Amino acid sequence: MFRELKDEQKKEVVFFFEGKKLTAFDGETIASALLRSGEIFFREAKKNNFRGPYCMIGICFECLVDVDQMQSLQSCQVIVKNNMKVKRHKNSDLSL
Amino acid sequence: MKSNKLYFDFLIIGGGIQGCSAGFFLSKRKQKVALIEKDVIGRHASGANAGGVRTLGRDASEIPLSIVSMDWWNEIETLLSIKNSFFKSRYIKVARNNDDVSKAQNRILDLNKKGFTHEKWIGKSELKHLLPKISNHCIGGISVEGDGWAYPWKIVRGLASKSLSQGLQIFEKTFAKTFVKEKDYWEVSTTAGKFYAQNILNCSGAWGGELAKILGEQELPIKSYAPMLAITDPQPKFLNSVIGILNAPLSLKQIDTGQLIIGGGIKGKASTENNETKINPYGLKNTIQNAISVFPHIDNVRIIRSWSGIEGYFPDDLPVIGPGSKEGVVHAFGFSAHGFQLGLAVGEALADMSMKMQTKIKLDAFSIRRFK
Amino acid sequence: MKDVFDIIVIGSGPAGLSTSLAANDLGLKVLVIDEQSQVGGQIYKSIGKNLDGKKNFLGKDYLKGQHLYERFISSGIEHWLETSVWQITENQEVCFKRNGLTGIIKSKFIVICGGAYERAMPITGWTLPGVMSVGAAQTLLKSSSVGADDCVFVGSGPLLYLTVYQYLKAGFKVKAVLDTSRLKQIIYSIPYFFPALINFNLLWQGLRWIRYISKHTKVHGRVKNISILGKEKVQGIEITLSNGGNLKIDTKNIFLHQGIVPNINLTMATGIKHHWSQFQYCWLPTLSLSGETSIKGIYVAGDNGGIGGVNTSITTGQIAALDIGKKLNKTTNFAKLFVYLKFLKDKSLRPFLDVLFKQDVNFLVPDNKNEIVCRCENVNKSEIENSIKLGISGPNQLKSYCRAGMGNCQGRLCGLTVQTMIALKQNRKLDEVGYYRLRPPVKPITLKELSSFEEYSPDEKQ
Repeated sequence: MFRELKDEQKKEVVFFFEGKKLTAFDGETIASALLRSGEIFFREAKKNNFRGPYCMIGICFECLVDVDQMQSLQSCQVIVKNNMKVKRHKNSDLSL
Repeated sequence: MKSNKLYFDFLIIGGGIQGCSAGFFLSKRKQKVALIEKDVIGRHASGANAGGVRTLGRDASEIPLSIVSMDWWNEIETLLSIKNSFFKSRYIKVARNNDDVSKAQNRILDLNKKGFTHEKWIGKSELKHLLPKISNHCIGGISVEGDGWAYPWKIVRGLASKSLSQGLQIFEKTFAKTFVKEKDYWEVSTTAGKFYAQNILNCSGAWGGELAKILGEQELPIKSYAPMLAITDPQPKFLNSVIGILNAPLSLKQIDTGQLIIGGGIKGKASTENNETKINPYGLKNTIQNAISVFPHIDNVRIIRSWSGIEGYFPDDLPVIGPGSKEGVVHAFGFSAHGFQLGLAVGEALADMSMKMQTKIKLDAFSIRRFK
Repeated sequence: MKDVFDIIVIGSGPAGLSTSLAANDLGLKVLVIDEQSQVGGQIYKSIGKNLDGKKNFLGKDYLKGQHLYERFISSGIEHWLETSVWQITENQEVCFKRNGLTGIIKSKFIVICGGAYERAMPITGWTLPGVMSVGAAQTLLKSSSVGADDCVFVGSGPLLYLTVYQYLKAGFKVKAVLDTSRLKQIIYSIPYFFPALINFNLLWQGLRWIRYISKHTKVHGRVKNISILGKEKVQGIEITLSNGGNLKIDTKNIFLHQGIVPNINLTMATGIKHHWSQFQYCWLPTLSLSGETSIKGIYVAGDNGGIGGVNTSITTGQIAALDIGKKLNKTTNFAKLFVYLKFLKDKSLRPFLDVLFKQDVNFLVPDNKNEIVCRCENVNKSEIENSIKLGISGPNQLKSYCRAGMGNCQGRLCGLTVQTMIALKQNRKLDEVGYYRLRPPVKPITLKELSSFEEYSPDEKQ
């Protein structure tokens, strides 16, 4: 379970993950904020098989989420903005 | 390297769909035939295209060949013992304005006069019924119900595999360097040794013009380009026809994974010397604008990969199919990015011509001598 | 298209910062582009935010980046952050995406400083949520002061030890470090030790980290048969110890590391010539002594051209800038020579480290035949082996048979594994087997973005 170091005093930003209200630090990536909140399932690789972030530097594409109108964003590359609505990225591949 | 003498009645140069199809028919007819390919089967245009299998939108001179080919396509999976490779699908070329409409309706009248009735006009409401997500400014289109699409590499390799089991010999990574005509056979020096064959079939695609010259033809006005394709990440199913646009480049289909394949003949740069192709973002930009204009809801869909093959184009957009000037040579190349669907009938015709039999269809329109 | 800049530098890690500073010092007009929201790349990630003294656990080397960072910020060099490059065309136009808009821009020269990323380590259970790379642990620590207690580190290499050191210094509890290095590597590295002594300070530092780590957590050396346990997420890890015994550790967070490799997706998609390095076990862009690629006008600097570490990244950046400067008549060859000598000194440490921590090829190929190799497309080891058995000619044919390499990451995670599997099964040399044919877009891009790019105009606000 991820946690932040206690001596940090940072401004907080509110966002939503799968409808649940969460907070992030100002300038924090979606992936980091979700991991800190205890979320580990980010994208659906196939039916009921979920993955989470692996590389955190935009290489692996396992941390994909949908944000507001945009699909399939790398959550480790996107900074949380106020009131963002984040959802798990579902795989539409019907052959799986 | 030890000199390797290999004797055949028929030697096919080129392992794309034309060559593999010719190999399929010749080996089916129990002929002694070999195929030489400088890279691997289906490496270039035949393996890197959008897989469109259409009779729609062709030049009238190609239609008879295309219809014969479609009959073969309808049996292809049984013939080659493969599955999940060819899918029947309606093809629609969409009209976006009145000019498109009148051009389309004139075309259909003209084709009807020539005896072709496969292309039908569909109006706005039928279009919207078939494609609920289509943009409202699409006001109709030309449709063919019995067309389809395929996974090109599965088809070409399926042809090659079946042919191998029928006795075709395939030599990949083998480059044919020189062709010398002896009395009644050709001596072909390759990187895998010397081959001897009575008949040469030039199916070498974008390299067809170079090979034709070596085989004694005049300089041909063939140019090579790289038709570009792009594929998106999977989307919920919304498209069960293959879509084109009248008078503008686009080919759009949704495959069984939910991914969209976007093509349409956008040309990138190609080099026949080193197999390199360059993706041209401007051409892609234009085609994608067309795709979004027809289906506005896909604008946030991501392209995850692009690729391209190397194809040969003639100025009149028609291939060369037919006998060469020298004895024992037949040609089939320069399909200008629409040879995939024709390949099955072309292979059969090549087998007919090399075996000195009557072809099903007259092929005068594709004569190599038409460029004088 | 007009050249808007003299040089476009892609990437703002040590190499990118160094290239742009050296070029700027010569009076050249430079643009730096970086995908991240801050300059610094991976090694100096978030350095701008971490100068308040609260992150001293990250170590002296990290804090050395402060100097480079401050020089860059005060230089006024134009830099676009949160900007990604999806293609470099054959006319050397850079296609970029910034603030949701796309554009295309040209410069006289391009220096690609895309750095490196970690090799995949496809051991049993590696796709379970809770398993991440050691670089991921570092990134979270640097950019958001986030870490996981009771975690386990597995693998081999300097970056592994540095990260464990930083974790412990930051106050996170590390349950165990499972080192996969083999004894023979220590023996093979001895000949390279003596030239490496020029960098004695770095070697000494490495020993200090190892001593500190041994005091604050359990280190098991030469472990084998690693298996990550759990069904939907990580529950633990099981290994065979060097003495043959079995060990099972409960944990929810595992960090893996087997060295890093140059990030060649942009360079390969641009058509730059590459060659295989058996020593570093990766593909490298083929570069002149000054870092120029097979395409005139395009250079590569830093780890993107071959793993060398921070100091080498800084010097190769300077060399590239000076070479370009000479071409634009702003400097002479003599300046370059001086920097080149420093480069040779920095480079002398690398062979020692490369051999000591040599990538164990066995970790690139899973033991378990049901283990996933291509994460994007869910292709496992046995599916790939079945395709290889059909007689495929290389990774590109393999792609069309079993879909490995066709997903979002364009082979970044599975490429070396697939290449290795083909070489082993078909008894072929690795460089002859080849790699995926990479094309733009280097990262996925929406239809709207791809269809709306305009030529960049400096007068218009972008």
